[in-house]
Amino acid sequence: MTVRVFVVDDHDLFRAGVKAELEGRVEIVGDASEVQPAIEMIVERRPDVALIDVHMPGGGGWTVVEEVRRLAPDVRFLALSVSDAATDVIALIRAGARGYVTKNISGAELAEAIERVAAGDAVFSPRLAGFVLDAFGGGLADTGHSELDQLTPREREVLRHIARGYTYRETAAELGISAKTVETHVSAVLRKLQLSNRRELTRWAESRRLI
Amino acid sequence: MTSVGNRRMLPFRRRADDHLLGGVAAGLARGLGLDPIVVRITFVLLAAAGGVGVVLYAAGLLLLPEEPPHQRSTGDDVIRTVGIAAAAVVLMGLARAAEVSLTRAAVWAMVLMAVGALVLWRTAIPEGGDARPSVREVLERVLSAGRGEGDRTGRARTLARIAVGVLLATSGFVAFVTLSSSAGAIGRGLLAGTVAAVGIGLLVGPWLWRLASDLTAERRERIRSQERADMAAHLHDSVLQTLTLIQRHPERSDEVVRLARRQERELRTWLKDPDGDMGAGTLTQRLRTVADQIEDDHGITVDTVFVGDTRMDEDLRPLLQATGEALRNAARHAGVGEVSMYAEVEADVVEVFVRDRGSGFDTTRLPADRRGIAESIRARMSRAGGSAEVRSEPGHGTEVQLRMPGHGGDGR
Repeated sequence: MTVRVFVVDDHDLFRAGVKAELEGRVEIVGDASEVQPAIEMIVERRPDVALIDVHMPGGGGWTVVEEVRRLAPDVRFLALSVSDAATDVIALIRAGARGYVTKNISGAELAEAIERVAAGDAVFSPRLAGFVLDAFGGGLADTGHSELDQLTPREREVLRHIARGYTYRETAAELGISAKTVETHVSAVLRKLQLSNRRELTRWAESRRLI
Repeated sequence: MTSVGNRRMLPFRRRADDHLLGGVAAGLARGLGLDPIVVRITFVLLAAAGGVGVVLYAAGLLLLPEEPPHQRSTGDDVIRTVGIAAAAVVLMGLARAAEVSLTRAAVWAMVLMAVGALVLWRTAIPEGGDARPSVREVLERVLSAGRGEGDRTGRARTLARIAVGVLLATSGFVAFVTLSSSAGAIGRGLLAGTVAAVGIGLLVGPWLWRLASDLTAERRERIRSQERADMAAHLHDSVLQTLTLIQRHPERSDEVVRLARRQERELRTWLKDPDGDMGAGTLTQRLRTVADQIEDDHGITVDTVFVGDTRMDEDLRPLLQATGEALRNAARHAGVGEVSMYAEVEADVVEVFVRDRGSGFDTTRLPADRRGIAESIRARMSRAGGSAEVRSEPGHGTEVQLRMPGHGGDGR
């Protein structure tokens, strides 16, 4: 079964490029360049995965994510961006995106990331893993935080490998665990990222008026 | 303003939308062409003076028909009414403190002043939230000749309002001071002074407030346009130059990639820190500089991920050099266009990982020239009290791991 994908990006050239790269790997069910049409079309066509850019005229990518998740909660989002600013990335993840990859990703890697998100897993680029480690820094010495506000040692290990450029499979081999376990850890981290009240995350979210 | 055309035999309608209680005051005010707040305060004062106001209001509630809604908020009026009432209470308190017995006439003089102040106030700050005209616009409306019919009516209305306001306030003031006859000379002087000060504050305050906020807005606009100019200058110096270069030599693809990559890097740095004063001399910044150099020299991309940071010092220099060496190795021998660098600064250790997905090699059977480099990385690190490990496998790329213990990071 091919994954049905919707592309949201305000650069025509980039949308065309993504569609060409994904040709034959997934089924593209539509694309949009603005926030409002994107919301309407995604809700109507119900793709498995929507690729979403951070910066969009008329509200930003997180507006689309929040709105669609309200109207069609079964659609999953993968953030695809040139931006490497922590605030942008965290804003999209906190709005509900299940992963973040940068735009220099290859077609094959992107298709793999899309399939992973479609299957309900989380996709972390090395950079996102770095952000998370930074935001949850201090880790264990940091008492007074709830369970949601810190990473387990295993989760930190997994994230460090992803930040180093390891794939999930390589990380699993390195740590002597199964790839499925790696995915479980990453999904748990994603959940913490979305729900945690950690000061750094709250600050980022506030700067984007997400809470 | 729309009320003028709507007048019928009986111009009074209760307002369904613009009401604090039953919309009687607002309806009357509209019929009379007054501000609702004036009528409201009159009602309140009449109610206080023997309850006449309550009876009148009740009558209005029963007799006046209701008018269809009209969009307008009452928030401002509520605030203003409360403000005026508070001012009145303060005035009465002051009068009592100055041992002035307030005659009924004096109270009416105060009402006169308050109504005058209100009218002026309302002229300075028209209703509606954000769509408030600036002082200049109000002055223009008052002073300049209006172009259209509507403008002229508006101007006459504004002038009339100001005249009425000043007249009411002044006569109220004079009457009040004259009527407070029972006080001694000092008390009266004090009272007159206070009332005059409060009155002037009430009259001029809104205008001054408006002027101040206008000036702030103007300054903000000036700063914004300055920022725009700075950004334009920067883009011109950097991005446009690069684009020109690229257009001139489109056939040299490696050079184009290099130029584009360098420009991207520069632009990202500038976007994060336009003044270039942040993080100067930190470890991650120096690592990025090393990576930039490799990118320029070898035409590859180095993806960097940093966690935490620390101030750069001499102890960390070998780490920096070893990282550069590892990157150069990857660029020369891996045969791929992309190398990842990950640096993590923790409380007791700094670690750097340089990884490529290139050809790799058998670490047990190194070619002579490669062994030297691996040794130089290792030797350099161990001399400085750190360690280095090179992991590689043919076909699976290479990773160089560098550790430098005992170096406290200072914050993430």
